[in-house]
Amino acid sequence: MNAQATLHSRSFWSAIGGLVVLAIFAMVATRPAADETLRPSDMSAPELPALRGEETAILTEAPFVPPPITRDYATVVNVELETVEVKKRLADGVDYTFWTFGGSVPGSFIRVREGDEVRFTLKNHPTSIVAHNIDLHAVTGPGGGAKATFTGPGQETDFTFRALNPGLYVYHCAVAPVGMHIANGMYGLILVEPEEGLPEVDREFYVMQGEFYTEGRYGEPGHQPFSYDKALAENPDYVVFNGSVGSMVGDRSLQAQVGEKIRLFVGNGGPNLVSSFHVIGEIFDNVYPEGGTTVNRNVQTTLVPAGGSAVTEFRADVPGTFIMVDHSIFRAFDKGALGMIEVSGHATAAIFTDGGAAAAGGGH
Amino acid sequence: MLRLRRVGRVLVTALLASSGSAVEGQAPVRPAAEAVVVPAGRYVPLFAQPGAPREVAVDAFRMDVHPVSVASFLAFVQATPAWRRDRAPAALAGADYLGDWASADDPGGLDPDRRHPVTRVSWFAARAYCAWRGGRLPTTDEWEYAAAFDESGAVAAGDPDFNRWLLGVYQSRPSSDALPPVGRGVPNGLGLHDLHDLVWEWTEDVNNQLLTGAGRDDRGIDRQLFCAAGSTDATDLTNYAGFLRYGVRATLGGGGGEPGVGFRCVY
Repeated sequence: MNAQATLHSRSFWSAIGGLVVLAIFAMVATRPAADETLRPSDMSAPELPALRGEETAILTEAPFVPPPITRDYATVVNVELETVEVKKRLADGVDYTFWTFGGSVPGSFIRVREGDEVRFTLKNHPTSIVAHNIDLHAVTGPGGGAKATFTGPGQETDFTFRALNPGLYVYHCAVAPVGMHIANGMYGLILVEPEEGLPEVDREFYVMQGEFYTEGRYGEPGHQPFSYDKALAENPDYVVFNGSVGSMVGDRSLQAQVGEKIRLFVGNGGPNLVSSFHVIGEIFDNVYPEGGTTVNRNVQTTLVPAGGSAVTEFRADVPGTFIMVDHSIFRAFDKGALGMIEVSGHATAAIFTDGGAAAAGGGH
Repeated sequence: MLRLRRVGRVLVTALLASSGSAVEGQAPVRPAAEAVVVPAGRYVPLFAQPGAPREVAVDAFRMDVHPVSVASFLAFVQATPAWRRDRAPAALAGADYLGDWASADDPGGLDPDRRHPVTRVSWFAARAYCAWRGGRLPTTDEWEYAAAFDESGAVAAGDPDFNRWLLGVYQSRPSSDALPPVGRGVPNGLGLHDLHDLVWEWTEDVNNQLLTGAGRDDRGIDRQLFCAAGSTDATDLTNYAGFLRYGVRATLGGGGGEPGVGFRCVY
């Protein structure tokens, strides 16, 4: 009846499940070797690397990314996230009660390595009003952890998964009404680095798009509650990067130097819109479309699905302000989907000259 | 109507005061319940038990006007020391039971009237309190039915405006670490206060719906609360406020200790 007993009963049922699997395995293993159609290896789990040691994941708030993984072996990684409901700035003069993973939108960036065993703990802050959970798209298993992490205010749950597939994955809350939890900001990214790691770059940033549906129209001051009607009509007043209008402009712009390679881990929490991610004045040298393994070269604009991602890389060849937008362009200039990368350093006239004025982005 | 309610509250306050002095004597006087009649009727639960009819008939009952306050629960603990947090059996009240109190017989806090709702109460303790008061916990059907009345006294479940209002209320609810007194704001048409804007409330069958089928993982309401399963069996997909209520209820264990969960009794 209590939470403890519930967890125990779950372990009980998974233990039963494990016994059934073992029994099937035993039956298969005793079959004649001549039967090639049902070898034990076909029935068992994929070969997994041995686990060495244990560590606690470094989590970062956007736009920052945890450092690259230098290990060349798989380990046990402990990840602890807390869901918190916080009233914060959505735009100047506009507040919103965000539901968050870790206190900000998007949620904390998680970085693990292919083959790692992730021991995940989800806490729901005692001041939360509603129940939350987490569905990580990096999980191979029912619900992506959603059921195992169903957590009431002041409670704590956990589950364990093996990071089988490398890639950049979205995680989000999956408690009904799912759309409302996501619309309130409950999404983030988890990177599963491939065994060989990612190519070295100079700067890595975390940029995640999401849209907000408010009772008041864009810019209407005060605390704005979630609008069910606008969410249902997929008609948001705000489309933003990293949780608020202007999260990466002015003093908060991303910083880089001429000559540096920049990698953007781009996610889209949605809940509804697909992003046409573009950096004005740059061409992506490499894009890992949808956060997968293939590399697409020389890309102007890449689609980022709702509940999906993309990794984009480019070399900053000239100084100036480079503007990230959702190129569904009214969202950028009228709803907030705009961020800046300030590149400083020496201009190279052989690449770009603008007749003597200071180099600046924003043109098209 | 308003004036009558005010008179009632004065009466309760007087009785509470007398119960306080009675503790020093022998037999404790139980604080009188300020309760109103919820008339018999029918309503459509957000989630029905498998095979159960879509519409549920609810008999008339009386319901506390407010969630149980800290002052009332303190009177219970003083009269029934077995439910002090240092004496209650661990199986019936977890480590967090009344965990925010200064001590086993002192709620602490700055509010001398202790009119804020008691929370961190186990389901078992809530039941015991209601029995001590001559009542019981409401069933989920009774609670949901009573909470579906709007300010005008109409059953408003399924009304888009009512749902929109509820969602707004849930989003502006006070954080559980600074709960205001019970009885703020406007009651619903039956005279019931604080059904939506203060704390979640225990119901008698809070966990029954999880235990259908051969096991928790088999089938039941929790499957309906995650996107993996969709919410295909819900009777009203637009009832976002209802999803939030059922969601919280589904996470509750009987041991209690939850910070934002209180209760009221029915008779």
